[in-house]
Amino acid sequence: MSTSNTDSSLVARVLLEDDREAFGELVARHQSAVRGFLRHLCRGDAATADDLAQETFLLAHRTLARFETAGRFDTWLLGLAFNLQRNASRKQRRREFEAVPEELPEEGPTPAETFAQKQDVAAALAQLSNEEQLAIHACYHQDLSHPEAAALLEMPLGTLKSHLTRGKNKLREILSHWSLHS
Amino acid sequence: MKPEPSDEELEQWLRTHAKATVPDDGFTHTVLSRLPAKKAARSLTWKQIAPVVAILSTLISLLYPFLDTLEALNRTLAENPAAAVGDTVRIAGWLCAAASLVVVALALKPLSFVWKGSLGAWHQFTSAFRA
Repeated sequence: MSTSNTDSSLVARVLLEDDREAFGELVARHQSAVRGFLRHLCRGDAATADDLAQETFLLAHRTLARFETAGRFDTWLLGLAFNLQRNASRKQRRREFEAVPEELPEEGPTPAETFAQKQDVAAALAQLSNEEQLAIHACYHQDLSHPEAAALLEMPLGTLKSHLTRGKNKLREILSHWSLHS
Repeated sequence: MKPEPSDEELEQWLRTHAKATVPDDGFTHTVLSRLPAKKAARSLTWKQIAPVVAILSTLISLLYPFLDTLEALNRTLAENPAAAVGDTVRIAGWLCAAASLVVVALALKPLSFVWKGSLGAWHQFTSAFRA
C-alpha cells in the first residue's frame, strides 16, 4: 500500500483540506466492518444498523481531530459505533418502558427454532449470548487483537477471553452436526 | 454425528466462512451527501488579524512598565523591605491584566482558527513522519 493511501494520511487530508474524496475513501474502506459490527449489535436489524452506521461516520467526520494517529482508525470507528448503539438502545428501552410499561414485546422464534429452519451461519451464531457473539465478532470478523477487542467492548481482558472460550465451545457443539467445509 | 471440529478448524471457519462483507450499495454516497456543506477556503483577513495585533501590542506595552516596576521592587526590597508592599500590589495588578488578556486572546475566534490550523499541521507532520 502506498503512503498516500494509509488511513492516517487520509485523515490528515480531511483535517487539513476538508477533503471529501479522502473521507469518502475512508468510508468506503471501513463501511463493511462498521455496518457488520452494528448489525451484530442490533441483532440483525439491518435498517437500524445502517442508520447508526451513517451517524457513526458523520460523528467521525465531526470529531476527526480527536483521533490519535498512533491508534487504528477502524478500532476508533468501531468504538464510536459501539457507543452510539449503546446510547440508542438505552433511549429505545426508556421509550418502550414509558410507553407500554406493562406490555412485553412479542417474542420471535427462539434462536434454536431459527437454526432448525435455516441451518446457516447466522443462526449458529445467534444461539450464543450477546456478549459471546460480540467477542467472536470483534476478534474473528474484525480481526482485532484480544486487548483491542476488550477495550472496544469495554470489558476486562479475562472476561473477553471467557466469552470467547464459551462461545467457541458452544459453536463447536452446534457445528459438530454439520461439516465446516461444506 | 461428525466429530467436533478442532480449535484451529473453528477459528479458520470463523475468519473465512462466517465473515460476511457488507456491500456498499450507495452507503458511502449517502454519508457524503449528509456531510455539512464545505466551508469556503479560509484565509486570514484584517478582521481576524486586527484583534490579534491589538492584543499583542497591549501585552508588549504592558511589559515595559512591568519590568520597571519589577526592578523598582527589587531595589526597594534591598533597601527597605517594609516599603515594598505598594510595588508588590502593582506587580500583581500587571500579572492579572496580562492573564485576562491571554484568556480573551484564547477565546477569540481568529486565534482558535490558528490553533486548529496548527493541530491539522501537527497531524500531517506526525503521519508523514510515521510513514
